[in-house]
Amino acid sequence: MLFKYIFFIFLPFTIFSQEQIKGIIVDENDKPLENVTIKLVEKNFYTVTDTTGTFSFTKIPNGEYTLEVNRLGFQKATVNTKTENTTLLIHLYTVPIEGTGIIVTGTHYNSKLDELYEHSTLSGKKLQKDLGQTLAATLKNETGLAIRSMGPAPARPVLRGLSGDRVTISEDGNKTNDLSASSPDHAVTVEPFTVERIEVVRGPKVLLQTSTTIGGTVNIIRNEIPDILPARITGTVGGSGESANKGYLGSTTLTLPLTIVAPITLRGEVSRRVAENISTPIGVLKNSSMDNLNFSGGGSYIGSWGYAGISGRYFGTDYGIPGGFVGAHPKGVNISLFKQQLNSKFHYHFSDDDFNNLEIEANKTYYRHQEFENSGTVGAEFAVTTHSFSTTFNHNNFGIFNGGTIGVSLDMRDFVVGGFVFTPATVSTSFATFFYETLHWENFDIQFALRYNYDNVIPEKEKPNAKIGSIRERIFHTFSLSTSLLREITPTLFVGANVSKSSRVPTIEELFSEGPHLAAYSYETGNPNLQAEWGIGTEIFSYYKTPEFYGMLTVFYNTLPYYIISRNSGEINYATLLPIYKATGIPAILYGIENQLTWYISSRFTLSSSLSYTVGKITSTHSPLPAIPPLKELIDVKYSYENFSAGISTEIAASQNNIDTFEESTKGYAIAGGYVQYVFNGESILHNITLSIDNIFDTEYRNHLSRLKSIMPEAGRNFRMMYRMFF
Amino acid sequence: MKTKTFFHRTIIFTITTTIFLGITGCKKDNPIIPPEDHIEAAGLFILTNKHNPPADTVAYYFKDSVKNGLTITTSINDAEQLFSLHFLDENGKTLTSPTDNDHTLNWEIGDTSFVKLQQVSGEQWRFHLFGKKEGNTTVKFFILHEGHNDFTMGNNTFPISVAQ
Repeated sequence: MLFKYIFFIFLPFTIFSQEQIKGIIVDENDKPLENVTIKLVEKNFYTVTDTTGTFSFTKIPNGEYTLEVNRLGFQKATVNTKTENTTLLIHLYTVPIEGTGIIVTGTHYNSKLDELYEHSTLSGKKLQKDLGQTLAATLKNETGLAIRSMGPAPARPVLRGLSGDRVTISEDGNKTNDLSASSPDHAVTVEPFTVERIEVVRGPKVLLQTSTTIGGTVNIIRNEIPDILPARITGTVGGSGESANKGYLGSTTLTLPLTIVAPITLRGEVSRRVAENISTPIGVLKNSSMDNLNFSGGGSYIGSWGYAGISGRYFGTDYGIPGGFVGAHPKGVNISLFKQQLNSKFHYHFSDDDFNNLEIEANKTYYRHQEFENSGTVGAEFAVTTHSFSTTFNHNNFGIFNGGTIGVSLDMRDFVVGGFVFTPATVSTSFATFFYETLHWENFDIQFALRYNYDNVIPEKEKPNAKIGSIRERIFHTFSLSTSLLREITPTLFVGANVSKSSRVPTIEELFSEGPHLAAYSYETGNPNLQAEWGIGTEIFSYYKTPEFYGMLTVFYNTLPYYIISRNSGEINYATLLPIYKATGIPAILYGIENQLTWYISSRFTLSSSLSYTVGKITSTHSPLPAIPPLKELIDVKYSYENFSAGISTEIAASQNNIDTFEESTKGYAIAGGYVQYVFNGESILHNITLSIDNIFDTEYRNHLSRLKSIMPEAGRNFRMMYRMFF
Repeated sequence: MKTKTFFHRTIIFTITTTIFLGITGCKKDNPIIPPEDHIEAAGLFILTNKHNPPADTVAYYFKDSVKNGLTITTSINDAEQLFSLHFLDENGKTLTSPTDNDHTLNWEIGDTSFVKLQQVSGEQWRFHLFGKKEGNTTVKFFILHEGHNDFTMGNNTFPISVAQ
């Protein structure tokens, strides 16, 4: 018994004594860096450096490995090494500009294509600087992204003019399972402040999560189920405040290793955000406040074989939808929603060189949403229970492939409505099988993915004689595929192309809705005869990357013979006097251009710009598609010196006059912003302070994708302060 | 041996997860009250018994517009005249008025110093208009259903004339 006790006490130390790869991380002045995360790419192992900058990986087979080295405020480093008894010395350099670093998530392979597709990775100092009160506000400066909104709270990202569930939002790879995709008044159930990084994934890898290849996936990384056994307790404490809405936030995260007991890591977080009505240059936008509470806890057992863990999450928010415009409630509507989520994950590493790992995940989500009229009575209610299961197998070299994933997933969704809602209660099942492969052949990087989906939607009550058509069970079989090819012209210049076939099953609302939606101020009618949306996406891209310059240019052309949209029909529902929005499948095209340039002028100055332009047309009538964002250009100048950085930025948007029949045009605008950021080390603690100012000149401007643009412009001058401590 | 260990771990995880998600579950709060039938009216008209029979139409509203030339006329403290309200579907045909207690008549009088509306006891869709003083005002109607309007006249109103 005594022996067993002593064995467990010293187990962690015995593991760490068998070093296979070890090293020291230092900065440009050869000062050891603590809290640096090192990922052993091939095995998906992580560790962090201690106070002497030292790290080590043990119990790994002999061979060649890739290390990814990350620390806030420093440029990411990738190092190729072998298992040997020497100590590596790795230098990290202060980041001249962030956002070009590439982080691959959940998989063990990396290619030049990943660098291109995951160009919109927000992490480190850039994430801290851009943190907004919602996920969409945090991502608003990313190339190709715009914000759909109906007040500050229910903002959701729009990618290349594609919105709703064409843009999948997931946390640690699990879909958020809220209703934010189905209506503009529904909030995304994600608190951005506690995330580690945010990735916008495009290309073939999208098919691991969704069949809509022409859209994309916004993946929020928290590592809620920990996959590393840190050497000590780590965490963050932070807060933020802003002036335009007198908003504030407090947050803490904690990761706790229990190595003294067993190889277990626990992680927890809590945050609270409160914001009042937002101020605009012409007045206060009434009923635009929000109040969020978010907490989670998780833990995992980590062994040399992998890890297994569970986590639970709660997100609740109360927010207002402003009123006052045509068809709206004069004083608006209040929404209260919450989400409870349970996750479990099993990750098994194979010791075989060809097989990498197997992951099994199971999740359960309960989402509840209530919309209140000004009198306090419930106008609409939704409850959604979702069970999700997935199994993925990741391999290394296999035949001609360098790496890949094969998997299956099953989602079962129980959708219940109440109050003044005319969408029937529905049970839906979605089964998918997919695979994704990468290969490198001579100067080509190739990615290929295929996905098959079976979807079954069963309304609780069939209504053969409904006004919108026969409400009945619907079954969909959809295939999607995507392939990308990248040619290395020179070591710094790459040119590539992507072709994909995209599919999307219509939502329950698009199929069966037949009534007013209180908070959306619309009378929504579905079409039970809708087919699955589909289209062919093509894209040509190139990027040029040297230590002094980064340039990316993408041209895309998506043709969708059957594109489902809910259009303002110009008709009025005479019982409620609300405009009628009808879901229809139409032929459409979406094309555009994206450009990113970063010029490292000197070690201290960086100039960057980003341009996004999308055109959407209904092919049959040659008329514009609704809700297409205007041409937008961002220009940013940054100065960095040691731990200090500062920048000014300009956002320029053209007017949007390419509008659908009953849509309003929007004038162009130019707004300016600026920030200063200081990162400094204390005793085992890293501090990050960011002060920002948005819309410096209090310019009156309107977001074309805001349903409120007819009554109020966007926020006026806004001072933001953010502090975060990493320990 | 390794394969055996792998399968053992996978099976243990699957069983544990199923129990975890099945038993623990997510705590559900108060259940949702399913939606009930709503009246979907596109208009309404008001009849009076003043010249009964036949009843006179004194107000007519259909698809966001009020028929011109009609006025609801009453006199001060007129308890004899009775008004009845009838709804129209989107084809202009008379709808059966709801008989349940969930649907209630709601109204808004432009200036309440001229007139008072009082429903007939126990009857949802019939009412008296008691004039208070001579003059003109307006009225509009809603159907209230569990806190929200199943039907609204929006900004449209019926003219009311109060005689001596």
